[in-house]
Amino acid sequence: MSSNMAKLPLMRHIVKRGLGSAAARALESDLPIETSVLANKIQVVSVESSSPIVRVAVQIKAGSRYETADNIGVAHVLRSACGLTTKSTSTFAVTRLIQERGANLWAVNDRDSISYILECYVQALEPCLKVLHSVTTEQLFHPWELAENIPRLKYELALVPPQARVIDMLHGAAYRTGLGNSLFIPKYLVGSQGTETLHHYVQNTFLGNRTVVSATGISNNAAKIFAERLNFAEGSGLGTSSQYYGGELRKRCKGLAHVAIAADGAGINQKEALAFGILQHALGTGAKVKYGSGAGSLSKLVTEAAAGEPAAVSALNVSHQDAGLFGLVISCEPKVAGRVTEAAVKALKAGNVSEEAVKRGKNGLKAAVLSAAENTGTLTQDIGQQVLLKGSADSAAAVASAIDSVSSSDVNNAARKVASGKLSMAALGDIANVPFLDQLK
Amino acid sequence: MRIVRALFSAAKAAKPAEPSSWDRFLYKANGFNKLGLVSDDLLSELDDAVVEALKRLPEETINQRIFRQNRAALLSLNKTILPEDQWTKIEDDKPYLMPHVLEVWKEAEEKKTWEDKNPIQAL
Repeated sequence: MSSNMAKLPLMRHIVKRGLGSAAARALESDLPIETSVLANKIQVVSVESSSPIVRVAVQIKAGSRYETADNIGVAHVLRSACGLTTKSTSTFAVTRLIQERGANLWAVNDRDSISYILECYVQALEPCLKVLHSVTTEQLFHPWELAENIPRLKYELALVPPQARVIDMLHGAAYRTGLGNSLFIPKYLVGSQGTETLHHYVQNTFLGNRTVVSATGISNNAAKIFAERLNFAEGSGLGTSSQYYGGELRKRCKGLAHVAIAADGAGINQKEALAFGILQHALGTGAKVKYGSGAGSLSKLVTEAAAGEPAAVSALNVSHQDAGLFGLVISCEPKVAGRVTEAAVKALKAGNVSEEAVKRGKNGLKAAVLSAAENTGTLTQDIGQQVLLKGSADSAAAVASAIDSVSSSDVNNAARKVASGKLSMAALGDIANVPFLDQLK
Repeated sequence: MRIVRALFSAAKAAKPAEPSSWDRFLYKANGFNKLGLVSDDLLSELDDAVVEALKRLPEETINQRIFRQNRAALLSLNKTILPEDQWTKIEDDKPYLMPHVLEVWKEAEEKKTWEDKNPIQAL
């Protein structure tokens, strides 16, 4: 039917035009990435895409891994304080200046970094960049505004999905401190990270050497002019360990059983990082077809073990700057949790990957990388993170060809490393049937 | 009126100048110092800006304010005043609340005049 439709002159015209314009436009993933280092040590990375939407991200190594025992949760409070009154702009003015121009300004953080991201129409760039500058460099953290922010923190804590929580617990079990710090402030500390703690944290982390400005939609020079005006001090700031210990954390509550199990993986800077990425997609990242089941060995074993009960499993690969975790996450009906966990660990500890699975893994990872690069929002954050953590940014096309060049013995080595590595485990929910770490073979 | 008076004293407090004997006479003539109050204690909580400003004070400062006000109310009910050595001295009368009230006013002013100063432009 559709082929008949295309034969009509009008439809043919549209089809042709559509294809023609698709071919003419350069893919976002093929555009050159420009990187430069400024006198104030801030690195600028940009892609000059033709999009009318400009995205500028200020990314700073100030994630939760740099928290110490004295200021646990400060990274979360810092993120939620984005948009509060600054030296030159009140909360009201920040809100109005951004919203009246249809722009967006928000902060996200992970274990390594915090990113302040501005998204706006190109004509409205100048006033919006002023707000971004003010929000990232002139924080005041008025105590009364932080107090008014507490309900928002509580709301965010209540909305953390159990899968995110269980991966968070997994980090706590695996690394204890540093990378093991939670992304979320513990409930009992809400309200206790005050103005001075925040200022101290910002002074020790918001430094030129630890900052990257990444931009898409504007020229590299324009991004440089913005970055030059960020008056961060120089210095290396806080450091942290990323030693893998391994351990177990369990928390009982209502609902399904959520289990995360992982061994030591690879950080972004390590050469095995791509092999672990392929291994993740080879094991399977969940169903890609609605109501279907995953193709990897992992989901096959888990579906059998679940015997018709709902059970979802995905391989997990988290890469931080200098360390990573590789394992799996399970969410399932509590009564089959024991069998499902054992089956999943069996797949994880298989220690070898077939040739077809490696091919499937490469295809899956390439598709994930390339489709992420098509969205300039993701692209902006991604190139910034690469420069921040790795020192240089590769285009998605370059990453895709690097994935192709990974040999299947590299992937098998990664699988063996996981099979022989010490496991960490976190379990959350109705976990009476979930075996303990030392009971897993 | 009290706010105007406090404003006046806040403006004076900004200057480190030694109070003249006329200032001292006026301060004593006001009389609130004899009840152990300081001038910012007179800012009324019936004013919304003062209520907002009070939220911005540290807890200890608020407790001291409440103590002074309660003591003054008791003295007033008993139709008496403090012994002279406990009167508030003009040198000790620092504005603790008025700077915050001014800030709250400034914020309200910004909200009120935002549209005039920042007309929305079509992109």
